[in-house]
Amino acid sequence: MGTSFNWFTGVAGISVPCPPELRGGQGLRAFYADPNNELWGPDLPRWLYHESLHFWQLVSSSYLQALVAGEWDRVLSFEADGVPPPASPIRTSHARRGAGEPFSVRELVECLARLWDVMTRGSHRLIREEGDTLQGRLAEIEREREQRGNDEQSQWEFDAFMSGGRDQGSYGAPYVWMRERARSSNIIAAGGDVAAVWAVMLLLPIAGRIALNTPTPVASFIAAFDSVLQPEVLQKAVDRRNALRSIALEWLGQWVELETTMWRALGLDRVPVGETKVGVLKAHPVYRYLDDRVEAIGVSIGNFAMEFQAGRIGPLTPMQAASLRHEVLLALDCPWAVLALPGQPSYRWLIGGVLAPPLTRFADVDLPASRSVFPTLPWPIPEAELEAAVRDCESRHGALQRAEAALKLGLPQGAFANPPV
Amino acid sequence: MSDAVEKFELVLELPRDALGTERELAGDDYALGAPTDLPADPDLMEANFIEPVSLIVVATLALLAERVLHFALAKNGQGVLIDTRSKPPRVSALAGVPQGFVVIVKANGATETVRADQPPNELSKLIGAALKLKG
Repeated sequence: MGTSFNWFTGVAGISVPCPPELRGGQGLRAFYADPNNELWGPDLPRWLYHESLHFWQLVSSSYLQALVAGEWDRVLSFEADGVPPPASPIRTSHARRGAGEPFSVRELVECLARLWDVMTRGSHRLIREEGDTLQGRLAEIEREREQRGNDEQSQWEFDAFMSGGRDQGSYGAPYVWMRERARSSNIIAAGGDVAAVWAVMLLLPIAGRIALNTPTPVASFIAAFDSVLQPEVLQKAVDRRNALRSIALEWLGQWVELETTMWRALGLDRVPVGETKVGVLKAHPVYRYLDDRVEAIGVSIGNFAMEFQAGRIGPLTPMQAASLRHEVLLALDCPWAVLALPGQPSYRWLIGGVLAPPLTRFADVDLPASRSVFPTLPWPIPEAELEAAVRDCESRHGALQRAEAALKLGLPQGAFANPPV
Repeated sequence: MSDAVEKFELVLELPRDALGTERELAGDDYALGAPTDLPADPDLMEANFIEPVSLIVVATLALLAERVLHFALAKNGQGVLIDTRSKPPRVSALAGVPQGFVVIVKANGATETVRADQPPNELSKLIGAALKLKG
């Protein structure tokens, strides 16, 4: 029934069987390298990708790590005295919109994941898979596509999928807010709707990455977004647009400057990689190993740069070579951008070889992350130990959840103490 | 044969994603009405977005018990609450009952908690007794 990523245990639940090609060999690396391969079937790609995105968000977000750490503190307190403690403030506010705020942190998190769902899966596939009319815009999209004669995704289609696709209630509000906010800029207004969508595409992953590394993500996101809408900053971004009008090249080429502008607007400096390690999760049975995984990303980026400089990646078209050069430079300059831009195939490949979700639970088999890593960058514990840590985490967090559920339903605290296996 | 078996009306609450499977099973003993959206629950912490829906169902006791056990045991799902005080009775896979359990609220407000790893006919008897049906 559905799919999910459990922030607290690191389990990605995917309610379809695991294809044989992902069970051995490279594990999920094969999927991350080629997520749209038909071998994976019709449903698995968007579900596995979406839930992996949430894990990558957790690894790169001090806010989400604090959310999990707060919950784990509750588990430890419950184990010590048998009394379920109240939920932490960060947990109770996560899915609720603050006073005067246009969306919740959870909506922002889902909006960021939706961006990559749409960018990587592509709207022509999502139309088929989601079976949604896009609030009546589907017929128009199909007509326009027929006239155009190809399946390429236009900005207009992107807009339809971000603002009105299936499950829009979870991700639509931040997108619509950004689009309307962008339209309020004279520079954007002069370019019409296409310019507004461009601004949102460009700024969403950068402002989102920054916001989720502050204690107040929604307020920070708004301040970061607004800082680039200042005429002098925005005009510079418009002037720097690449001739190909490729949004991927824009992210790579403009990331550092825009990120620096946004951090400054928040009165903060760019956060160096070493300072955003996952220290708050030291007591967590699974995430205590994330420091090691973050270091592995750094090693992986270094290897990637060496391979590129040695000319061992290819053959490449001139366009691919230009893009790859930007990808290497940005990864070296701002390693967190790798996790914030998983739509870049090379970045997804780097992340996928180090950071598959700790345990991916398919309908028929559990796949521990250690099965999917680059052989030179293994998890610091053996596979059996990793699986045991995840199950320990599930069992301990589950005990707290069951006690809370019983009390909420007016039942004795132990009513659900012994669940069926 | 199914004509002789008593059917009854209930309100079923479940994630919209689960509707497809239920529609495939629909028939004389399990008739499903049109779904109506329910408000989303801000306390749901999982990253997936559950789109809650509610629909009127007319079912036999045996089929209802089978579906309840399916919901309660589904991976990544929740347990099931059966509240017989509501008219029609409410069967919810969204009420916060942990996976693997079924909670039956009887007409007098008393509750019975049962594990979902039991044969459907046992659950059938319990639901039937709570609803005062012949089964």
